[in-house]
Amino acid sequence: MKILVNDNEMILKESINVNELIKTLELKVEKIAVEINKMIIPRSEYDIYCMKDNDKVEIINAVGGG
Amino acid sequence: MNVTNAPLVVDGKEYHSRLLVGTGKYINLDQTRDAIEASGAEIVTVAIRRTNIGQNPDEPNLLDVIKPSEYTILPNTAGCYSADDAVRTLRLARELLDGHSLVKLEVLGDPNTLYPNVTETIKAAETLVDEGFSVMAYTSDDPIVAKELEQIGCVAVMPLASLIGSGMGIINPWNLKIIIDNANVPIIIDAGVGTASDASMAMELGCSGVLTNTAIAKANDPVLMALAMKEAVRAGYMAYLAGRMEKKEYQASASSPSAGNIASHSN
Repeated sequence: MKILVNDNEMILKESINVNELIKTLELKVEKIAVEINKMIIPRSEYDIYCMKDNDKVEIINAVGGG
Repeated sequence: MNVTNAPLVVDGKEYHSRLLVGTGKYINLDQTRDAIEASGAEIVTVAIRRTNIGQNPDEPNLLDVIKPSEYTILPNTAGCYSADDAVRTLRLARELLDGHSLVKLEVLGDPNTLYPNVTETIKAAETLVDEGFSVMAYTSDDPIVAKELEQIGCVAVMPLASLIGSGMGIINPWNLKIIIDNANVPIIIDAGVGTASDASMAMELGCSGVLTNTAIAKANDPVLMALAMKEAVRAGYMAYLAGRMEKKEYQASASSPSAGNIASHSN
């Protein structure tokens, strides 16, 4: 299956949940927030939500700004 | 309590610094941390951006040096040109910051001037207030828009002094004074502050606080400028409380007594 993560195409052999995606991308869970198809996925649901084909995933973090 | 230490109250929370600072444009995170520590600011703005996929997992994150446990993090919507994008960004920020609801709303209208789009700002403010956010709204120096943002329920209104990052200082003090005199929420100058005297002037006008980023980050010595801003905001606030003397445009008034002056007896 194919998903888009911050506009980068990612091919998955099988569906994985949000926690597994975060682990694969080597990100720190407490420093990011995740939106899939414009719906925010609360941290409490990272184990529950499983990727579907063509999901559009946005992962954001805080950066310097005024 | 000493009147000069009266706290800034935003959304029911007391802050002892009336200087708010941004975290953009520093050369690295060490400089960011040092300048922000020196500024004494308690409210610190951050931007929300896509995580760089494939980055070094050990690369330090802004929130490692500006810790949410030590500062009130104020996520902004910089770079958003519509109410929808701003609302979406702040919903993500609330999730990132574990339900934290104090946010800085800024909706821009033009990429060259970064001038705020006040109609989209008002639209976004209405949605955000409905959703339980505590909104500090960046806006133009239009007194009617400022009042409208207050009436929507924004917890602070933040008019520009001049364009974002311009360092041009306070272009229209009269408009700011109208906004301040009619406000029931803190008015915090945001954008355009270039140096310490601009911050003092804002406070002397009666602003409740000053938010600045570029003036500190782009100074030759950001840490020293952060210290200068801290003192300037405090000095300006005290001068405001003290009440300045009346201006006498065409009438000088000697500070020294005229009686007993030997010059008057020498003719």
